[in-house]
Amino acid sequence: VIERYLEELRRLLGRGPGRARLLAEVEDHLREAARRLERGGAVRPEAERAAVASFGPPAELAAQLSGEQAATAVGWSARLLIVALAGFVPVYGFVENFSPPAPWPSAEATPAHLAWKLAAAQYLVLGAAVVGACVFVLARGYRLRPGCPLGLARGLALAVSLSAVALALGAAVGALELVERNALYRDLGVPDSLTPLEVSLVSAWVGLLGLSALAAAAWSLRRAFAALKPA
Amino acid sequence: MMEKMRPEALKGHLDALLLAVVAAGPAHGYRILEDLKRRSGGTFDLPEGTVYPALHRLERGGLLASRWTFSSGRRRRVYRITRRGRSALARQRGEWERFAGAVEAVLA
Repeated sequence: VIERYLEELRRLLGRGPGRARLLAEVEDHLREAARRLERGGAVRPEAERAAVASFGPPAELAAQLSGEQAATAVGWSARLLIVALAGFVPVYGFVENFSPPAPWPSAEATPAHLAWKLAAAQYLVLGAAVVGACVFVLARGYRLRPGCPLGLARGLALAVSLSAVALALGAAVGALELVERNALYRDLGVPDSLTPLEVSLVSAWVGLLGLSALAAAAWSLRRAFAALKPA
Repeated sequence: MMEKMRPEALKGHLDALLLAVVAAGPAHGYRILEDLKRRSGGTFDLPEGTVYPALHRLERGGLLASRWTFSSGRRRRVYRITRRGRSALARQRGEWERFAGAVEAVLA
């Protein structure tokens, strides 16, 4: 009876983290409970059935554990996302301080192919920051709360992924804008343009930030969706 | 034996109860549950499995710590309360005393 219970719990827990530890604890608990019932006069099958019945349905236990673990994973992903967003601050500072002023008279005169890319990059990164901060606050609130519903944890994992995709897109478009802008400056003979090495380093850095955000999002999605297989 | 309490009635209090039990000394899951039942005179008889996600959650929050121990050829996860857990327990005790006092004053 205990073996069947453990097998069902193993199946329900899927590849979720802490699975081996929980199964070992549950097995120890059930065997101890059954042993005590046997000492009280029950026969083994009856003792095992009673121990399992007192423990509660495996689906309930698996769902409870998975929801809370997924909320914790999403909280960590959101934290990593915020760290990646913070990585854009030195990029902004570098470009502001070392890139020469635009050779056109006003911001409105910026060539269209650069203007839309700059605006898109700024809005995407800003959007990622807003969504990421909201997810972080919500996940932190639920991390230690009993019984965070798995559906909510999954919703937060999707939100953090959306934010990471926005950040990665923003990083890619921003890097492209910088490359094109600098190439144009050099064609126009603007003095003190960034060197190709500087542009490459900045592009590599923002690329790394975007990839880190995507990796964090993939991790939280895996935790939230692979944690509990359908019964 | 006192009448058993519905598990839902324990919601919101389970963490504090578990911290209080573990504060008395390191213990494994089964022992924690037994102590909880004994100390409540059998009133708190919740589905036993619900204790483990709560213990794991308290550990993730740094309120409990745990390690494997080997005794009589058996491997068991033993939980102990951390300094942060003791502070949280003291805070929750204070909150409970204020709450219980207020309810008592209204119901009396």
